[in-house]
Amino acid sequence: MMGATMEMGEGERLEAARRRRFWRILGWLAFAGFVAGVIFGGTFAIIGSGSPAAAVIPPVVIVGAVSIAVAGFLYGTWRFFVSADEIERQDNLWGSLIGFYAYSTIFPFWWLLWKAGVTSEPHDWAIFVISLISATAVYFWRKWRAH
Amino acid sequence: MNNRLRVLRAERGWSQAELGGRIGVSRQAVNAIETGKHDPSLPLAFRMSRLFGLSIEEIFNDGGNNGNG
Repeated sequence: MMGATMEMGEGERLEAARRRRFWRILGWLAFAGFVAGVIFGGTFAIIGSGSPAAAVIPPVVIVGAVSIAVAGFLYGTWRFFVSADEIERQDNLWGSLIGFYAYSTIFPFWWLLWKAGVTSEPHDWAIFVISLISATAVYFWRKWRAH
Repeated sequence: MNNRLRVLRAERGWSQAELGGRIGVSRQAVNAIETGKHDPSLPLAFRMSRLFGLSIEEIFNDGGNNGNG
């Protein structure tokens, strides 16, 4: 639509560029997360299975790969926060806060219940996933509310 | 907090995206501020103030709340 493009104001052009930059960073983060997930998921599955193949992977390779993944995650997060506006940052901070509350509430109470013999031992992955879901739900609830 | 952002924007014929681009925030951020779901930071309020050529008090109105409860 040539007409629509020509009528686009300076502000709309800047906003479109900001939006493209933002989604590009998110896209790269998602892609990197997918690749890291496949690599680490496969590696940990081999290690966890106790297969002889696990012994073939030198620890230095695992440490190196984890270091690269952590550095990439930190760099991507930094780029995300630099390109995000204050509402995006607030949505992230609220999501992170609720995720943290979920973790710091569930773990100690579950641990106490376990010590009291009421439940099984706290399951770290379950608590991690619940925290992540809580954070994500709050983030998207705030996004939906802003529309 | 009440504000005149929607009126000021309409007077200039700007879309939310246009205003967002001029003050460095997303269209959703402009919408959240216009509907009172988000109070802008002081730096953002100053950017709006400069853009419209008005004081912050002429754009935002806290209903006379003096902060003492």
